[in-house]
Amino acid sequence: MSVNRIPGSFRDPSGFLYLSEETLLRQVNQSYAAHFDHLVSSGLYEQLVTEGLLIEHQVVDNSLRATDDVYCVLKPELIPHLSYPYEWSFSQLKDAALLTLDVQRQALEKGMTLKDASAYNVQFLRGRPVFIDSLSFEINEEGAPWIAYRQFCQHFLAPLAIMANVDISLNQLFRTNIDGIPLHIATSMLPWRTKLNPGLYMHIWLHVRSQVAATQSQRSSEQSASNKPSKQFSQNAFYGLIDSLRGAIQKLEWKPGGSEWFDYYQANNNYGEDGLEYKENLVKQFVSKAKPSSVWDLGGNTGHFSRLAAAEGASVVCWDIDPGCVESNYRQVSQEQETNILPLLIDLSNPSPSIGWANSERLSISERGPVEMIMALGLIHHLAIANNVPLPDVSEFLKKNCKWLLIEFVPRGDGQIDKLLSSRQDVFSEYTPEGFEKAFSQDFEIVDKVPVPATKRTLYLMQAF
Amino acid sequence: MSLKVNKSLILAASFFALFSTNAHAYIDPGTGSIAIQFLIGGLVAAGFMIKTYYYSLKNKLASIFGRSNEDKLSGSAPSGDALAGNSVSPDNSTDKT
Repeated sequence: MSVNRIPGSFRDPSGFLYLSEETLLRQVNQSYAAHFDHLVSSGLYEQLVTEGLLIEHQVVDNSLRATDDVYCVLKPELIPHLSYPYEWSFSQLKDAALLTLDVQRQALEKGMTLKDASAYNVQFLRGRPVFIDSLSFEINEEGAPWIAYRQFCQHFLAPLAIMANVDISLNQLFRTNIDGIPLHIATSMLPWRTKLNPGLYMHIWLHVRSQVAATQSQRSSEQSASNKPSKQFSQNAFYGLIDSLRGAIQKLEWKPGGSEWFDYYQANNNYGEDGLEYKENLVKQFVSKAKPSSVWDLGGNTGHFSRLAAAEGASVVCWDIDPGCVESNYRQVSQEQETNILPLLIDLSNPSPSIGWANSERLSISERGPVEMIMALGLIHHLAIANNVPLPDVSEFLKKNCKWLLIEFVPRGDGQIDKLLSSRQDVFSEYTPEGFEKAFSQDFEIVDKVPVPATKRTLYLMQAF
Repeated sequence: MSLKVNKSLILAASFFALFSTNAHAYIDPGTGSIAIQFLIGGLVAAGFMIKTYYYSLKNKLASIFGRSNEDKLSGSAPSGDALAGNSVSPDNSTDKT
């Protein structure tokens, strides 16, 4: 039997994820046995799973173990598409934070606590955040404070505070800080007025001062054996801390709107009503022809066309560069309780890389593919003209990530292209319908192509060789 | 922040430094983060207790005055606070912070 450990699952000695004959399994190590038994016997596992807060698993036979240190082996429900906090909108990160606090509160009620509070312990499943690490629960030692408090502040409160108060795009700091945003970085950016918010003052401003003070005290060797703490962190203090963090998170708000792409389909879409309706029907027709079970809608805006693909039964990830679009899309997913659309943030000119230890803890976008179909509607000119990517390179990237391609070619003379070329030299001699077909024919067979009426655009359905 | 508060934090941090080194955590909880929790915990514990009593009293009143009142009262509470306030009954006697 071949066993492949999942590279992002090495920090916690309680167990690890691995692939056994292409099945994802989680080994629970002997050292975690008492905690795992308590998780189950206290009813906490069942309660969290019933409420949709924790990923469900099946206990499978120990013969599927990866090492001899096994206590038991779990087969967790699969997450169709992994995503990371630097790809989430404001409300996605906020919901993940509130989920973590709800899980922690329920754990406390059952005599357990979360030993870590990483944003990477949360994934999105059927439109909702879900806690995926079944080994994060530990029997709560009476009188002990929250070991994961610092991590929670770094992974949730600080990023949300700077996204809401400084700039919405600052969740990108997760890319350079694998363990969340250090609090001294957050305070170097946060405006002074955030000190007037009691939650942010206590959990960020005062917290960072305490960290500085601790470093100073360690340097000056003020501590001694006689400093052994006699006080206990009471249950009220623990519940109060969680309640206070919840209040601080809930007060943070960010409203989308006013961005370049936020109201694109309502205000300025280059189609007119008839053209848009025709394009919708074409998209439905092409999707139903390819029948993909998984779709990436690249540059999907607020998910207008993603929803057409989802209606055909596909599980869709709608990627967009605009935080306002992703936020608005996620709010619709939440409000309508849509289960097969995951809105995510991406800059395709600099897509999510592999990061973390050995560049393999968090996967790049391509490592999470391929999918059965990529939709690239109104996108090609942003890559080829705004970002100067040669058409054959665009084709190669798309081929690497899908089997079917539904792509729209936007030629010169289209309002969007004119806008892009208005302030720069036109050095894109290959950017013609012929040049486009020639470049993509290297990687794809053109199955169908239909011009969109009332526009200069053409929709193509292609299949990778 | 005043020098006095800063000195208190240094004192608190050194006071709880030993705790963090004894903790069996696989992530570093951070000495300063442990220290500040005792301070914040002390501040919020009383407020949380009052909140808990407030919601339990509200629920009792609601049950006395009937279902319609209960719905009204619970509906008026913010969801997070209502969740925390209604569902926990920590042992107050352990509050030594």
